[in-house]
Amino acid sequence: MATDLYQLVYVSRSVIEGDEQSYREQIDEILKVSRENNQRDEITGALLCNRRYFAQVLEGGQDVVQDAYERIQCDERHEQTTVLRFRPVPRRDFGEWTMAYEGHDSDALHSFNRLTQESRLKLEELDGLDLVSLLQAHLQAA
Amino acid sequence: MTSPTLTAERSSPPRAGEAPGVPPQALHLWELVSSASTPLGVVDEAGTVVHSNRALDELLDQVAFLRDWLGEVDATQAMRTSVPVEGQAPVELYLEAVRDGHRLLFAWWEHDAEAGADRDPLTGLGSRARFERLLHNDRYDTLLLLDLDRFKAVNDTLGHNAGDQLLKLAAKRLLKAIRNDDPIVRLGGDEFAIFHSAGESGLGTAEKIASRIIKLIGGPFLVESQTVHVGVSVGIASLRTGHTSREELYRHADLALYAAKANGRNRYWCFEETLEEQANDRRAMEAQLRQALILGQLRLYYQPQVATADHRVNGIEALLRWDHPERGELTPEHFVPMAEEIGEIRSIGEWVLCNACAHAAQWPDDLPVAVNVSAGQIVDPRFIDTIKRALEGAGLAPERLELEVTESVLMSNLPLILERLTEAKALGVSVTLDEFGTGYSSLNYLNRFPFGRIKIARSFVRGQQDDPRARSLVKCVLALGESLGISTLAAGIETQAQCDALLAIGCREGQGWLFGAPLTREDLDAYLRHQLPSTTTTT
Repeated sequence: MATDLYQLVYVSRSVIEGDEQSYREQIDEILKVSRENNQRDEITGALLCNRRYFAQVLEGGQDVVQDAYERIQCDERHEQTTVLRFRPVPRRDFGEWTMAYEGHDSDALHSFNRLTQESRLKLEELDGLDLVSLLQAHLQAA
Repeated sequence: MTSPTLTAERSSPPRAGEAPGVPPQALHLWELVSSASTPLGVVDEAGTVVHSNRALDELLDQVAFLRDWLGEVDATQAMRTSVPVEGQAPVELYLEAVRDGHRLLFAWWEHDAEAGADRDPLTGLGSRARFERLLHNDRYDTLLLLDLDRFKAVNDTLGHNAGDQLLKLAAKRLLKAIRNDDPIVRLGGDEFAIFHSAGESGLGTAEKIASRIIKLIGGPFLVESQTVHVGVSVGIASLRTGHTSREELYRHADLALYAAKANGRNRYWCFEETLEEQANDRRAMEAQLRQALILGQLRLYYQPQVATADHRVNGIEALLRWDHPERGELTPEHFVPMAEEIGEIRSIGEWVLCNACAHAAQWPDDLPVAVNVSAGQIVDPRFIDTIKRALEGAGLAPERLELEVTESVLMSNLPLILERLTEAKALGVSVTLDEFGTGYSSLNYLNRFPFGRIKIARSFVRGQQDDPRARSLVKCVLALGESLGISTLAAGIETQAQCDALLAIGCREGQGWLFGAPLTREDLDAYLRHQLPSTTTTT
């Protein structure tokens, strides 16, 4: 990779409508497309989401991460993006995953649910590194 | 997806139930494509053109190689691809993103020379030349004008490269917000225009587009390893909702954009007749403001600044008023921004400085005069010369002139403003930070310029009696001033109780109605004779 390695962590509000099944189908669709794109762009990362929030880590070259971010930013399935972290990193935290998914019934999801259910949650006050650690810990445990 | 083959198997638009493999939600896409006059096709995930409109059919008939063309069909990667054709101008292929699970392909001929003039080189959107042509294209009945909010701040703080990157990213987001192939042009700077055909739906679709634009542009941008926030204001005008001619469309959209900004930015505004009346009023006021100086309608008032302990006057602030022929007496916030916009601020500012200095030269006890200066005045290259001329003309020592700037002035163009203020300070003039606490990053300003004085905003001064938080803030500013060796003055003191409360926490200087309302020059002379009976006026 010609450019430096960057890590992006963002959270956003989910606006996916519908019942559990259509919700899962849409998440699967997001994962399918992002895994294809990420493989092409040598991006690795992880996605964590519940019915109200998305949290995602993307790592790779600055340009490709930026492009991926722009694609995501324009996706109508979420809104109110808050960038928690965007900076060069010495190595990948999710090197083995084109897009690890901590979704249905995982421990990470339960932690995330607790985090996001706190009343008056302010997305911008979440710590990007906390989310990275949370995801990493659960992926290693899995 | 990489390297698909565009094998064009034409198909007529499928009807519901007749299209194997076509999801029902994609059917309206066929209709959209068929009705477009731009060569347009739908490409499936394998890169096959599964449906093309008549214009694309004709193009495919003319250019055999298009059917076998290998290329990337991902608009987010390559929005435009130039394909060389032997003996002819290159073909430009415009590619769009996934819609309803299908990929849309735009393709049309463009000669390079024409294309160059037609396209904005930075963003790849249409150019101003294209805008002029589109304005007279009957196909579009609705115009959206856009202006990024806070773009100038990004350019000023992060540099032009970052600004350019932001414009490119913003342009891509705009392309995602529009319907069909509505053209987008960059008018220059951070201004964009979108042409739209509202059809029978009136302004509804244009408003939806505007909402989506505001949402997309409002999301954070990643620019040069930084997260950048901007916003966008949108003005909408349509032939469908008014009796506008095509010539008026642009002007009306512009008035609507102006209203969107005046109403708080980061929103859209649709043209309405009242905007025209407001614009007329504004034009009349602009004309009146141009003549105000010559007609002698501007006037200076003077308000004493005193020691809070014994009310003894130790300085005087000059306050500008405009006796408007119809609206009565106007304070600077009602006309200085307009004076800046129409370029009158230089002559008005010069008049204020010269008169305030000349009056001050007559005052006893070498009392200093404080003069408010605006951003437009300071950034004018002749600002320092104007100060010199005012001081020399009046025979006033530079030490007796105090310039007052608000935080909003500093925010407008910090590096240049600081440079100018530093030059003014080098003359011996002192500089006061006015309305301290009402803007933001005040501490940063204090760190970057040696202000002689801080004026605590009246809102804090009024609040400090009853509100413990406001009181703590005032205390904090006083302590800050003391430790930095900067004097502090509380503005807007109205009652003796306020004054006593301020004295109790160590505020030594004040200004406000308690000590004296703004006075005319003549009344000020009388006030000074009464206040300072021991000295005689040095006329």
